[in-house]
Amino acid sequence: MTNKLIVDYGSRYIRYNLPNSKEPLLLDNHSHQFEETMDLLLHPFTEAPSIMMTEPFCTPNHNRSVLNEMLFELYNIPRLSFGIDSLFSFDFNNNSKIDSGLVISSSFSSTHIIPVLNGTPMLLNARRLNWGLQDSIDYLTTQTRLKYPKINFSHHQAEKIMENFNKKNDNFYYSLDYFNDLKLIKENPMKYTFILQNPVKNTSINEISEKKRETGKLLQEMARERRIKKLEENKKELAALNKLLNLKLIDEYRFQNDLSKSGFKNENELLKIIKNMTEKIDLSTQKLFNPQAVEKKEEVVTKKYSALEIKELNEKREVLLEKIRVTKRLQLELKDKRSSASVKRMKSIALLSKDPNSNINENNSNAGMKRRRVTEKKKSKGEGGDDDFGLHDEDWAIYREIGNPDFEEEEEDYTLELEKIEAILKMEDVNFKPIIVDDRMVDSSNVVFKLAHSPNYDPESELTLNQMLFNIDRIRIPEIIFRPEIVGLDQMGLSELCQFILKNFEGDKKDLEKLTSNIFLTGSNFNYKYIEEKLIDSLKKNLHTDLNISVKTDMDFLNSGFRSMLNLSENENDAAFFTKEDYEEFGSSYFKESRFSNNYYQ
Amino acid sequence: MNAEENGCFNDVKIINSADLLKNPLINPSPSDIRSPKFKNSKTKKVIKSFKASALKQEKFKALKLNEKITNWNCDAPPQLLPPRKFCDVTGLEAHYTHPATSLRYHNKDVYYFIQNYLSKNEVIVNEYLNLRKNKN
Repeated sequence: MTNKLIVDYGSRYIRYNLPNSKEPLLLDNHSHQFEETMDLLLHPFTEAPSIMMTEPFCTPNHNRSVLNEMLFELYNIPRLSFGIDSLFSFDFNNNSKIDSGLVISSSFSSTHIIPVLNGTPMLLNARRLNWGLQDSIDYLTTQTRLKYPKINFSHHQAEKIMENFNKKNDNFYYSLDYFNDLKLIKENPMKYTFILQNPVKNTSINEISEKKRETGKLLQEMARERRIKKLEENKKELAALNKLLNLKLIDEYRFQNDLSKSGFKNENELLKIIKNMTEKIDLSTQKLFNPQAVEKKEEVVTKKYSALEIKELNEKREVLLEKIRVTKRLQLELKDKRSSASVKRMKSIALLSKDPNSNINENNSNAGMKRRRVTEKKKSKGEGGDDDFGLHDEDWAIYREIGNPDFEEEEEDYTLELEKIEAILKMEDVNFKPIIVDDRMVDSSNVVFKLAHSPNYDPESELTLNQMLFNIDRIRIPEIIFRPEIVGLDQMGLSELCQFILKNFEGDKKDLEKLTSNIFLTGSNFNYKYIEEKLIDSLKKNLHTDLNISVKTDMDFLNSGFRSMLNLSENENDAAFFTKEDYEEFGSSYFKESRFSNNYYQ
Repeated sequence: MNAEENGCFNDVKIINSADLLKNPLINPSPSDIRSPKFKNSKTKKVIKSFKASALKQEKFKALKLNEKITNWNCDAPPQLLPPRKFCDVTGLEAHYTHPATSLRYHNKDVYYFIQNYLSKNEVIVNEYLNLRKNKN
């Protein structure tokens, strides 16, 4: 009995067996070099085994010829057999003799639908959709990276989130009514989100605060030293002044001389200054060496704000916010030539050229009327046709009136007032919500902010800065198979494709019912919740009401293909092995057709 | 009112508002209410898109028995149903597009975000648009 190597060669995982064993082993398909994997798989075999392999739906002949050449000539394999993996897993799941059904397989690289009637696959009616799990992982990564520009979201993280080997993974699910679900998420995003928290190093936060404390302490000490020095200087000065005073008792004449030299006019001045100095020195000694005994100033009465006053403050705040918004909008509009604000401005400028003392009717609204009258006058006099704007220096003064209005001063005033009000409201009002601005310059009242950040968002805390919310992507990514227009693919969605295939199916109604009553789902991209209900819903709306529709999913999408290949390989009649002589006779892309394989065309 | 006096075709009904008050129409159709001079400009667009999709579908008819199914044959046909538009930034429905960047947006909040932040970053705008492009 020759050992056989059975390989379920998928684009993400490879399942294979060791010699003389029936258990599948998993291998990641990272390497794009086929030779490395074949070396691994064939290493434990002493003789070259006969191989049964899977290939994708509709492989081109050229790819298969390269494979055949390598296996037959490089590895000296006696026999080969090819098949489609989804048909194998369909066979494994039919314990009772169900021969026909609609096989829908959505795997890592692409999805395809194959109708099977009485054991034979109808490949002419089968179709392929170019979207798989790999594409949805790429889509997730780019979307979150655009949503959170300052967070490093890796491809590997996206893979882990979408991993779904058991169906209890709630991270993504199919929505039965997509537009309704979108509305619900918009109204109450936190009910439908799950938060992914990137790890944050706690030590970094503590280090910063400690550094701040240390620098504060240093500054305090330096200030104290300075004050002590000043104290001593003041004491010295006092001593010198007291000496001066004492001179009076000894020698008055000299006393008066020294007084005038040092700059004092009278004795009284000296006394005053000595008094001030003594007071200063007393205070500073008390503060430095006896801080508790310092007399407190009059206590500032803390005003308690009543509810009415808080309301008024809130209203004032909103009024100020609107004013700021209006000024900003005006600033932007005046830059645009065609906006209504700039058009008004041009009209007002044109009106300035009107002479207020003239007898022109206002209905005429001809701004250049005065100019024309002046030119006509001059023409009649015989001079050139110019008005004399610019001859006098006072004419240019008009540009000061016309110039762009300066909004910055107004904004500053408003913002100062706002800050005062907000400082009060922070302490007093419990329901006060300050306006937060995030990485992408978006306000907290904006839809974009609400879908991207939780209500606890604080741009100063590193915890919330490293949080990512997933709410709309939870339904959008599984929905792409049903609506490929989200990604720009111009192909039919799954439900439409099923209808297309069933319409073009030539046969009785009984055969049609055989197909629809045994719809079978495989593949790693289908392992999210509510897929069955969604398909049944969409098909019931669009097919004949009498048809019986039922959907079944694979028991074990990882290994079911492998197990049916095992069973097949022991049955020599059904397993379509072809030998090296066939390869040499019929051409390099030749393979034997079976009820599990593609069609062979030369 | 005579139809010939009005300058319209003979088939069109002309309703007097006074008569309407006495005998109101229970299930009025657009032809009852609209004036005959009204021309709907949207019908042209609908007919255009319908013709374009019908042209696309011709390539992708069902294969006959004599034909082959190969890698270049087996793709799903293009959509018949009209495609729905979704917002590039949030993912909600989009009924409007931003003219300068050709991004689709959901409401005025997203519009202000695009206008103030995204329209200054061409690289990010191109990344958003590439998500909607067909890579194949």
